Amino acid sequence: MQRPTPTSNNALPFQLGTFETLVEGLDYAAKGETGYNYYTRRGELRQILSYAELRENAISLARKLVNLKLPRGARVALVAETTPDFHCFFFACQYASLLPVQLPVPMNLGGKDAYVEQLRRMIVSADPSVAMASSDMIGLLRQAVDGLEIPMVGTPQDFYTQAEGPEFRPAGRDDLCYIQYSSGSTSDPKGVIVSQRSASSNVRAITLHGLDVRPGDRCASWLPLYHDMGLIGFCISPTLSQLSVDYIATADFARRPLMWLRLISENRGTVGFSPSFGYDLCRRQGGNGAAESLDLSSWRVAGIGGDMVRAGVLNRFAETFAGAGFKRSAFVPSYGLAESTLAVSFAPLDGGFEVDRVDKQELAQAGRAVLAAADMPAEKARSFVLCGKAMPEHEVEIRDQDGERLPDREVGRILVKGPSVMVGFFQDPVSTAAVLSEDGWLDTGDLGYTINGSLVITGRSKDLIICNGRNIWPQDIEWAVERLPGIRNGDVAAFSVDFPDTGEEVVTIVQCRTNEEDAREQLLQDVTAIVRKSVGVDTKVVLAPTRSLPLTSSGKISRTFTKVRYLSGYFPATPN
Amino acid sequence: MDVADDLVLRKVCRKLQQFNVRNLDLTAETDITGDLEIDSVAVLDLIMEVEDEYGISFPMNLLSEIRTVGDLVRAIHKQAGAQ
Repeated sequence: MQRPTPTSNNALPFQLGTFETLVEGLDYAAKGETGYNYYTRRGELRQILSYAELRENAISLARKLVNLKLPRGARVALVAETTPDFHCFFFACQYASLLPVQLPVPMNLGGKDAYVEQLRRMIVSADPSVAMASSDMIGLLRQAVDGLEIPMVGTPQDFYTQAEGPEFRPAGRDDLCYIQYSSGSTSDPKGVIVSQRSASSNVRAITLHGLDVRPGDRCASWLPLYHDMGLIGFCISPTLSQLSVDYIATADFARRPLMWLRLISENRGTVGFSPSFGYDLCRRQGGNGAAESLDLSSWRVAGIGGDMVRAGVLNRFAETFAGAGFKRSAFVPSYGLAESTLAVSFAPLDGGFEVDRVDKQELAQAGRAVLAAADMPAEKARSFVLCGKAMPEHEVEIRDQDGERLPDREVGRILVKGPSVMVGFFQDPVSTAAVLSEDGWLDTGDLGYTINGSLVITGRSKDLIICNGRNIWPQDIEWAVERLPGIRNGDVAAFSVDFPDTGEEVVTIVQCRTNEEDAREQLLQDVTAIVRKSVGVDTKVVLAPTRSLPLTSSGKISRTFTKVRYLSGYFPATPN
Repeated sequence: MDVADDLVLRKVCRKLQQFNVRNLDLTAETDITGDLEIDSVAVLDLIMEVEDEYGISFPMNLLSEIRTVGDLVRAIHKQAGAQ
């Protein structure tokens, strides 16, 4: 039986924060014995890839890619499953000065058509020279690129069997690193350009400051590698810190969340991150003695990021797994976004999470986070979790509508500056200029306030919906529903209603022209089904009379005002 | 493959019965997420149950192509045959 890679290197001294490129980091890690371990959902070790093997395989593949005459900076589209092949391709691009573009993996039952469409739009935007997918996924990738001029589309094997050339050409400190598609809607994807400098700066701040990585650390992750949290947090950061990682695929975690905890328990993991909903999934399955068979006492950093940090979920998780040795103090709330590579702030280590309880009415009406009196009833207060101070070399400011800086406890737009901030969106100067100022401040699109420099996130100024850790754009929901027969452009508004404890509920309001009961019932079902299929979320559907959706001055549906009307009870309740 | 009178089909339909709140006739043509009241977490639970029962594992690309009960039954046969 094979053994996972060791937690610590035998002879190689631990080295952190000194690498300026991914290649420098992997060159160093390859001198030791640590690396990646891939587990099945049943907890069997499927495959091992030490950093030494990864480097060797990546350089060999880099020679082949260079030999294909791909110019520097050419994009390489990779369907990013959690496999040794993906890691090999990603790092081969680093050794060949090519730009990898991580494409998503489908997650929904019956979601094929929407997935192929999503891939196609990303590929059109990234304009890659080659595209790769596993033999499982290659059929869908080929459908997505049908009719596009991409010189080579293939499986890993198709590339491994190419002739090796004499040269490889490692990306240097002033080069770019990869393109990340997690911003923008499906219909209008935006690729964040991450440079070697922004990636290595973010990793430095994460590992030295945020996690204070130390010998004995070991990572466990189920996060998708096509998102910044999975890629930077649990591929690039550990590689540049010589840490071993235990992986399970995201789809396997969704089916068996406790396997993540089992890996931590068995391999004495110390670092694992998840959006709040991942902790919730684990908690739900942790009853009936499941928790007792685990030993989570080694878990030093239980990070939370990627969605609003929900105190209720974390409390229940901590209670469920206290008997398994889980320490509440291990919780580390954080804040970040792909446009700033990944991380912006971390709450202090070993502190658990801190909650700020504020007056709901003051918050809604005056945009001020006024501490709630201790005897204020629960329904009049709102609790937020503190996400810590900006990392070293990074700054955070809260600004009002006019760009004026706001003092502590006043809610405004969150802006970020520092070496992790993206170069821009790929081939999209207009969208870049809309969020990135000439003096380097990035408008995150999130709303929040500070307390002595500690950041609190209260919501988003953009319409983005975050559901089960996934970013969902309302226009993608509206677009899908508008394609149903009898529904017209402008008949649909989608938004989310946030419940502090349970998360966001997606609401879709549809203007309906018929009063016939069966037809209305059918429409409710069709809308639910099409949203589930194309966007992969469950939505509450409300049928509204025609011309009842409020419009903006430019004649478009106003989601903000639709939501206000919905919350005020304007739309008649529909059984759903 | 004809799945109309199939043991696997009957088993799958039994599992799906709890989500059949509108009391439809469950057949191979029933649209799993469209006709039944099953949310995305329950879908994954169902898939896991089926995988465990038949000792198989569905690759994601296959799951994305499953729309109807018949699709699921055919996928079970396919995976069970391949493994």
